[in-house]
Amino acid sequence: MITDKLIYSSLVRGDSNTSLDLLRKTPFPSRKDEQWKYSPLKKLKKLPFINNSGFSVKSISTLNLPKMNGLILVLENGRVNANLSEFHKINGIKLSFLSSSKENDNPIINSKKENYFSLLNSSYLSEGISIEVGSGFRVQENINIINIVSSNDSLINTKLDLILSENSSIHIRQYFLAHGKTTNGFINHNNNFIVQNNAALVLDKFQDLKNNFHISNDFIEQEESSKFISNTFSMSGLLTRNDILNNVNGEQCHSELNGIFTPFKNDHIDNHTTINHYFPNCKSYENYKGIMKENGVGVFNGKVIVHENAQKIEAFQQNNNILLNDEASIYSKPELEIYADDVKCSHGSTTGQFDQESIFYLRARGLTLKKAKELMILGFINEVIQKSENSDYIDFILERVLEN
Amino acid sequence: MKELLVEIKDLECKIGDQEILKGVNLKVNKGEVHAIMGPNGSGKSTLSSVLAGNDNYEITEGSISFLGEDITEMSPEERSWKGMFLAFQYPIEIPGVSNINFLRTALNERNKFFGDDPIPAKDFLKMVAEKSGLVGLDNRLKNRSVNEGFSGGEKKRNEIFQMAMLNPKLSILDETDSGLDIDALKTVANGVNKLKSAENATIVITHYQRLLDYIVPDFVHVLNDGKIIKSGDKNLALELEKKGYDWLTGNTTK
Amino acid sequence: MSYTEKQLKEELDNKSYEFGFVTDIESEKAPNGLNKDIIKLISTKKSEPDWLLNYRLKAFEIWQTMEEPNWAHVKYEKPDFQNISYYSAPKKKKELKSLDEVDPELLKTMEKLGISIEEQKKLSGVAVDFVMDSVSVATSFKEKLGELGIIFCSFSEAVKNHPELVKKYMGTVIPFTDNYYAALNSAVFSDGSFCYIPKGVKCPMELSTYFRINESGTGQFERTLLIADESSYVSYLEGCTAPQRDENQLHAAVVELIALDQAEIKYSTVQNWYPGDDKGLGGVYNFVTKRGICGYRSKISWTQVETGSAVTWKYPSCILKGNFSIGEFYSVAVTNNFQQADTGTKMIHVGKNTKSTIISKGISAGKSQNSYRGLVKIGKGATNSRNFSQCDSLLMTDQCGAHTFPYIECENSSATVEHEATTSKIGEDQLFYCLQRGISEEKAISLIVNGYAKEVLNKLPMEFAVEAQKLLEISLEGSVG
Repeated sequence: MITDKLIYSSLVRGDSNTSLDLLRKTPFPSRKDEQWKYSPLKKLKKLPFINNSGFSVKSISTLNLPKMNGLILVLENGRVNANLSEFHKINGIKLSFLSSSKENDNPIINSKKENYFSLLNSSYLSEGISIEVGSGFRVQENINIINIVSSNDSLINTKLDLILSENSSIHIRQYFLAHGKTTNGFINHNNNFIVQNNAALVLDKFQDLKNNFHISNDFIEQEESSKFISNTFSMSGLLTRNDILNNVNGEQCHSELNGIFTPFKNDHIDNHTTINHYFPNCKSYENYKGIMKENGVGVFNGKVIVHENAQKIEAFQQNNNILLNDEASIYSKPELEIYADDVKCSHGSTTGQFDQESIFYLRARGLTLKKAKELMILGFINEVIQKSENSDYIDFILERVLEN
Repeated sequence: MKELLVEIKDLECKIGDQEILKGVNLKVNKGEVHAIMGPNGSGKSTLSSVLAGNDNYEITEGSISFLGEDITEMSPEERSWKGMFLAFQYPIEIPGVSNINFLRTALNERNKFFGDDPIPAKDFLKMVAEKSGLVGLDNRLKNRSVNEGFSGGEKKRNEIFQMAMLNPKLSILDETDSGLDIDALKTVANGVNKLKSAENATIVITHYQRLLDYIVPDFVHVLNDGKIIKSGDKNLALELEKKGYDWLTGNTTK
Repeated sequence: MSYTEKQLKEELDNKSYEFGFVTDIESEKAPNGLNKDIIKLISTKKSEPDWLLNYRLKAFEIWQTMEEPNWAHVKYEKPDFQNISYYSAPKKKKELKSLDEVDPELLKTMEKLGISIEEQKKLSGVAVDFVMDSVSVATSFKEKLGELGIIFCSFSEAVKNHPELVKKYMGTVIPFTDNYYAALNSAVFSDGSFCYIPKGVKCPMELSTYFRINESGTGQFERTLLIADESSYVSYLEGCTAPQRDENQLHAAVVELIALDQAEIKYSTVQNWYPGDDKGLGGVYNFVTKRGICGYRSKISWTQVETGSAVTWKYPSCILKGNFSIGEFYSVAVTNNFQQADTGTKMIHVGKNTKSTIISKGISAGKSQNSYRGLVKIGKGATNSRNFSQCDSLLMTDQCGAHTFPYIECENSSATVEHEATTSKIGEDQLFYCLQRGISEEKAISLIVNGYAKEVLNKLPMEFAVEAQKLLEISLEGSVG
């Protein structure tokens, strides 16, 4: 077990002691667990993870990221890389790093998710960022958080705690990256968000960790009339897994989970989502698009639960997949659990390949096969990619999808 | 002496907390055609739903009597058996249930209520052939699921076809003209006129005068804000067509 | 000689066997509980060959190492497997002298189903003079089948008369290692049906267990084996549409279908075992394993209407092994009161150009829970395979639940898999429309539900479809408050 092999020099704060107790009681997941049925865990379990806090990224431009506005916070191997970060004060935002903050400084949110990896994270935290957006502040600048692994075999436990007070809004962009030829690193991340009444949060996650592991446990609690939109773009990774738990704890909420995943050569990308509707009159939308190439494996497991008395819920769930090679696989499991009767819920899942007729049509109009396929891919993911609204970011994602 | 068919007295109703009808009075005798007109949101469609017994609306005051019997609390199906028919503004689709099966069930349920035997298949089919000719309902529509995938015009024809089959005493046509082109409008109106007799009556609910060129009313009522504010003969409809509703409602903001 | 723990155990086991055996001779019923000796007893009583006894014993060994599955979306008190008697000789039901002695509830339901008085008597165990009649019908029926070379008999008869066929095919689709209940069934199955359609024969009539003599006492661990040889066709009806009050709490049947090259099997089930009362007491646990395997260009089609049982756990499946083979699953599952159903199918695409269709219609009423669980697997070699799934749920009350758990596993890029599901409540506007046309609420619900389930009901053989419709109506009586 990875915890046994490593002497952690981690932050000890908040609930880490209780977490450690719980972690010791929690077995390492296996494929026998329904939740981990399709995930390759053997290698992760065997790896001799180490702690490494050195920096090797020289400049942010080597990372080929899109133009960024607002704050840029860079964590490398679980430590703040101040040279690469751009930090200034933004009105209405209280921001602190857990490593340098005092007790009672900024609120810490304890995740309600208690699985092996979220517990591993809270037990051996490397670094965390805590953000509180004050009531009524509609923050125009983005917060960009870049989380890099640049050292082989290193285990990185990071987290972001975020509270959006009433009537506030913010846009967060997270990047999870493996630098250069790094292999077998593991970024184990927790996102804990509370979106209070009438607040709005947009979260873009970009994940590109070829030959490395990455698990992100996201816990979102929404209060009345709030809005949460998450766009997850997962390009690559030996195991990249997003576990999203979205609890809707008030009426008139809007929840939206979108994603594009493009596993290729030895990649495994896993998306697990749960939306809990506890209150009536809410809407949720889920839209994930997978493009599997070479021997890449994609997993989508989305669950919408409409609890008793949560009437007038509209929930839509969609997962479309394209398999580009014979060795590629997709495991799709869209689930609905409904305990209220006055609801409109539907889900759909399709898996197939590009329509040969359409490709032929495009080629007959003078497009090369490559261009034709690109155009088809663009058409396939367009609906989801447009959710990002920022054209630089959209171009960046598009370029990366087509590169794969 | 004309025989009273339906009488609405001081009818008030609400949906949720919202009051919609605020004291409607109306008498309809056998053999008459009444038109109810009024601006959007005046309560026209609510009135038709309440007459048919839709319990989404709560009747807070007043009464409805039909052939001398108080039906204010009566279930929609019993009203139907006794001869009330509502042609819906938006006819409902029922997937997987054929039009024919639907109508036969309806007729037999009524027969059961009156202690009559179910209608023999032969008679039923004869009746279907006869009545569908009345509105020019395409033959294949009869075997399709109720209203499923019908065009707007087909749905409205189907309503009148059902009306012919059930032969009601009071027909309420709720915005039957909406979404119809002029040819379909004529066909539908023609069907309604053929079904008219000294024994039955029709309430036509409409926003426009257009339909009344073809189904000529004996009386025209203007409903506004949940009350009938003016009644007259067919000329009232023409006047409304020219002047709009504002001169009656006192709304001069236009 | 020293006396080892093992010997002690053996001796104790033997003692209990002796005891059990003695009791058995007296009462023709095995004592409660399950062990090797009980299995030996079952096998001996049925004069089975050694290979079958060994098969049972191996299954039992495996079963002991297994755990009762708990992944299904159902909650119930686990049966106490040591508190069940696994063998009782086919005994006659208590003969009643007239219909007056029969539970009036039962008679009422049969009347609604349109079952004739004579049939009512027969089904409720009243002595009937017309038994001869039914035997003669069955006999002439059998003669006709015999002419075509079709074998249709009880499983025990097949073991005696056609051991080569049973030995060759039994357990090839559902090995006893498959799952907990299949292992249990393989160890203790009582009896069931066997059917073989020879090469090129199209069975001219619907085969129904109704016509099979010697079917009494097949009990709770039924086993069916159906083999359609090359280019043959058969339509098989399972189930009894009369609401027999079965005292057995646990039913764990196994049904294996084998469609050889270019053969077609149509298997229809109407199940309405006792669902428990409106307070959720009693009722049957129905834990069934049903699976078919398809050869080249063959087709297996499952159609089921499930309205009974307190807990249902059932996934009729197809292994599409042969190229160009076709699997179909059409299901209507109704749950009312406190019923729980977790049902669906598995379509395993192995061969090239294989095709599967899944249409599932769930209807939940009362406080029931109704789940669809299905797997569509496209294997690496299943080039150009297709699947289409449509799973709809209809909710009748605000206290019931409707759940959809589809598993889609696709490992071949030339495949096309489509899954759609919707969940909605019974339309209030539809109800009002019917009411306005003079159709009473109960009738309107039945009309709307039948319309909703039509796609599936249409797949049933004619006479079955009519009864299924009535069953839906009965099951949903008083479901909307």
